Amino acid sequence: MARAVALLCGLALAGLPSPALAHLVDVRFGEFYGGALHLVTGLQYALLLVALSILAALHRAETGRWMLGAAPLGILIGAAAAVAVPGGSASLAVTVGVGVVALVAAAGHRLPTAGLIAIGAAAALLLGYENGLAITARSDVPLFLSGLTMAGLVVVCLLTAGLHRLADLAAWPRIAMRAVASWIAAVSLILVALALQTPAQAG
Amino acid sequence: MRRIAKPTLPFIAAAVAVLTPQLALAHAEVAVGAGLVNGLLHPILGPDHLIAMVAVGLWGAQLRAPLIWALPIAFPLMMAVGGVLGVLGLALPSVEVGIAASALALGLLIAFGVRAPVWAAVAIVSAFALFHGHAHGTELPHAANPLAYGLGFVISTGLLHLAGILIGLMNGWRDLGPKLVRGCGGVIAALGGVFLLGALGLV
Repeated sequence: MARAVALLCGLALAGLPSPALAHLVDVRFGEFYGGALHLVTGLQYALLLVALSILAALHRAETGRWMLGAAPLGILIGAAAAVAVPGGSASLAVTVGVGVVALVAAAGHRLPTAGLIAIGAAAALLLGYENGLAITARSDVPLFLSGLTMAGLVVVCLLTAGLHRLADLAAWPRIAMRAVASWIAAVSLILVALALQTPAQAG
Repeated sequence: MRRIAKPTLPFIAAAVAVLTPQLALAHAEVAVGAGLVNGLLHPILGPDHLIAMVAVGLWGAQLRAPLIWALPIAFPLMMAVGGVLGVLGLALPSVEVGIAASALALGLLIAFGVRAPVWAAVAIVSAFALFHGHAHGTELPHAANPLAYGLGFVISTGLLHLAGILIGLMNGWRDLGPKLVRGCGGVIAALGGVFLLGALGLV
């Protein structure tokens, strides 16, 4: 009886399903995908990328296209800084960054090129730093950084291009983009307050 | 070498099965779906919230540009300020009365076709937004995923404004359209009045 139970348990163990992945991300370029996915699967990070893209799309093409360089470069430098000088989480700073970028976009004022680059690079530096903290001693740093940077470039590039095209079609997409930016700013403001909430205030 | 007793084999096998590692994901994005759904439903399931949000969009559509988009942008931003007060545990007097009064006042403004100047309309809507935000903000810290919950209620609010704007497009119809919009304002004011009496404990 005991032998049969042991056999059944052994069979059940052997029959446990393991994930079947189409791409063998655990080998060769696994860390590349790790870096790319780390950036796009965090809700807070995705919000910042959307806010940056809206801000760029609300500017003229000659100004807005600088974001395509500033954002990925900022992410790369920020993540490299996290590897070189690892510190505490910058999650709150990222939330503040989301709020500031979204507020500027919601205001609808066109910034000078240097201003847009500065705000984009600063927010991307924070984003890169926060993501770079996920790199461990066992990580393949160049691959992870490449994935992170490429994901940032692809997302910002596609979103900015699409939204800019939409903004050219009619007046209402610009208004809709500013409304969405105001929503993102609103959520960020509340989350900053939540992060600063003391245990007594939490009740 | 001692032989392991046969009856212990099933237990070992079961222990191994239980301890088989699961996928460890870098982002602990817990309960995003539940948080988002709860946030989306919060303004919709509160009829006092719902009619006030629709009224903001409706009044904006009645007042036309720039208020058709300025009100739905100002509202979530000031709602966030109210949310911050709620999160930080700072009391706002008579929140439920304020929410019900917002529906009554906005309904009356629509019903009488009051053409307020831009600054006055933004100030009125912003003042009422504080009460709505405070109510949402007090719920936020208890949400499984505050970011997803916040996103949900802000998106829901924006969509309710949009519903109001779409209803307000009737204003462009000859003769009957403006009357229908004013009629909607009357219905909103009547419902707001009922909610106000309820909030004051009179019904």
